[in-house]
Amino acid sequence: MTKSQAGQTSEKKSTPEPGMVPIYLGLTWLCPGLGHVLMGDVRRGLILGITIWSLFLSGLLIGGVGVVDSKLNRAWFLGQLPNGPAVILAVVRGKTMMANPNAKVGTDSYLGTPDVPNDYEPSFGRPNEIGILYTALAGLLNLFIFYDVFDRGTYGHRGSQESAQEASA
Amino acid sequence: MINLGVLMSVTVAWRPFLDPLPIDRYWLLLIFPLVLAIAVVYKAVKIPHPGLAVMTVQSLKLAGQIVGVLVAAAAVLLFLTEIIGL
Repeated sequence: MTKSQAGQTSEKKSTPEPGMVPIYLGLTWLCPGLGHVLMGDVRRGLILGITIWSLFLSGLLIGGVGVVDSKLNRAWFLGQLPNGPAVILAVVRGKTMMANPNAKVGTDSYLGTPDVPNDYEPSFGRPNEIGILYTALAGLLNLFIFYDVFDRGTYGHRGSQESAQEASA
Repeated sequence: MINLGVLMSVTVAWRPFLDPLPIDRYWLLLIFPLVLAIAVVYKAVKIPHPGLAVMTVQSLKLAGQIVGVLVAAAAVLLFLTEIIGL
């Protein structure tokens, strides 16, 4: 792969300090892409951030806020967990938008009743499945980004030749 | 022809992020943005200097490969379950 093919620019990148890696990881969890931006890899951070946020927000748009539910969809929530905004949303939804936040899962009152509805419409069927899939995948992709932040933060930016070989593989 | 009355009743009543979207008829098409997002994230991590041109080409290429494998897997499963009858 040639220099131009790899989209190489003269963008100067600061060398990240290994001691700051936990902070970069925390910021990546809180806002996907922010870790890369603060490490000096602005373009990569923006691409990753916009993609993950788009995926997560698309999932919420399709299925509604009910797709992030740590009690109803416990296994899927583990996938959503690496995405900080999903966890914040789950807490906010449980605290402020549910009519009966202490209701047991599986009872009608958990999803809201006609008399006392939740502030959101629970989704079922395909919208629910697709919404959960999108938000969980956003979380799992953020997990992949954690690894990259750790790698770049600990060992620095790898040489262009080595990375180009990986990219073409 | 679009029935504006029906369209209005749906869009006015719909609250973004609070109400689910009626995607039951088009759910399979939503695989494409999903696959594209996976490809973009993977390539953004792997490509040394992610420029617009190289990212577009490489991401579309990878997304195409993923969709191709999914279609092939679906065809194999369809063959095994519907034609052979396993």
